[in-house]
Amino acid sequence: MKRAKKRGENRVEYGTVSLPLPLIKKIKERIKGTGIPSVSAYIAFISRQVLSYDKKLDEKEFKDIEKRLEALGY
Amino acid sequence: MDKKNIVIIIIDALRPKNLSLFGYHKETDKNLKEISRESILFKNHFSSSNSTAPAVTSILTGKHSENHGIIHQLPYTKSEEITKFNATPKFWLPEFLKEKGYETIAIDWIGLWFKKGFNYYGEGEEREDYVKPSAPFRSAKDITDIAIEKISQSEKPFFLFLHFWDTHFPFPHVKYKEMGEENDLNTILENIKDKNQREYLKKRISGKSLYSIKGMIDKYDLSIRDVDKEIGRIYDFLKSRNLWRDTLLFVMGDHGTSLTEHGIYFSSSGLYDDSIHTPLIAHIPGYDGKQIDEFVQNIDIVPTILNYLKFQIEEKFDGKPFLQLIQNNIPIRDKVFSVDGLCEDIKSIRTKNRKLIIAKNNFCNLCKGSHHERIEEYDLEKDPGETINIYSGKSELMKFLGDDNELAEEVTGEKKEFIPSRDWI
Repeated sequence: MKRAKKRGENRVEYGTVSLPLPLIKKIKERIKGTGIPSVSAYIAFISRQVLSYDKKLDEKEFKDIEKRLEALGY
Repeated sequence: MDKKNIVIIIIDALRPKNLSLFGYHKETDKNLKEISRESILFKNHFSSSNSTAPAVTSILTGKHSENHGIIHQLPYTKSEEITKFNATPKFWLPEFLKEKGYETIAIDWIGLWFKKGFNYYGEGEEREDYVKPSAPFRSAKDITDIAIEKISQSEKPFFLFLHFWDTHFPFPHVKYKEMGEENDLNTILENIKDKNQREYLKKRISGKSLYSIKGMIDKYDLSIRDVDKEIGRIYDFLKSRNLWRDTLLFVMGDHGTSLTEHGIYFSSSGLYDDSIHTPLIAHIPGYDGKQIDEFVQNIDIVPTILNYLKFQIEEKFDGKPFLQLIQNNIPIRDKVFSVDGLCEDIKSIRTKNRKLIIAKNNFCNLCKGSHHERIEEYDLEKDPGETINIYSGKSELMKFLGDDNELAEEVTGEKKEFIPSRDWI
């Protein structure tokens, strides 16, 4: 039997970050008409893109490196 | 030309003991000897680490592992180390020189964070005639061909970073065949008490037509000779193009290696001198050739380059420029500090006559055994081979670790992090 979820159990907690005001202004201009609801949502979107790209790249590279290192006795 | 070219050549796992420059009976280093006549030969250069990834990161940042974040060798580098490295803005020589208008070229294969800031990073994969090498890395000759081609094409001052791996066990590019007449490896294996270490060595040498320690040492020596020959080609090329007088050249080992010492066979495990003492030859235009016995470390390369090129930047390096040492013989440090990149948590401090090694966790990720007791101290004057542990509960060198923090931790259970103070680095 599945355990009943307590209210708010899966809720993501949020923190605050600071950005220079001119940058916030530029982002506001940029997201006009894109459907992105806020500056925070835009930053979260961009950050996720960058982080997932880095991870994918590293995993592929790591595999190749591990193979070479193994041949060297590591 | 206003700007000087910069060349850093890493010879993997190169230890001074196998160079005639340091008294070896075989001449493995004919070209390095010739280059040394016009360069500074540092007889006491110590790496900040016994393994490649942390050591090369130190060379390119001018910082110790604790401060750049990469402590362990690949593939044992922990993800949080890489995260810390990537997340913290810091000086990175290739990026800095690229911004200053240099053509930045690296011939190496590790990639990852090492390729940052290089206009070119690779082993010639983009060439039409590229053939994937049968060994894990390309030979010194191939690396040199690519390097010479790249710098010939450069219209700007260049930063060339070369990493020769031929000297790494099992020396796959060396043409040498043992016939097995002096087979002593079985005896060696039988005498290794630690089961994990024994199994590791067995696995490491299996299928490689290696039968004796002598054969393996011969291969190591020949690999040095092969690399030396290629460095000679680079030297000749720079001379023939009148680039030599406008080029800073650093030739060094990233770390050393134990061949048989301390029961460590053909690896750089442990923080004995064999694993961290490496040669450094520095050609610096305007400075005559000489030998220097004072301490320098790999973290000193970046500050020296910046000092020489008169670049002033706001960055706290652990290393120090060694131009004053060359010019006026003013020592820049009286002790060297190293971290073990293969074992979990081992650090060492070495003065000219003493060495203290502290193993908080001596598990070796490479052989799954261990190479150090919890605390070891050596009297290097009487015992340069580091064979008799004289630690007896208190060491003069402890004061450099803060307030005897290891002992305090044992007594009080209170954890203190061992981070080298910038006052004594």
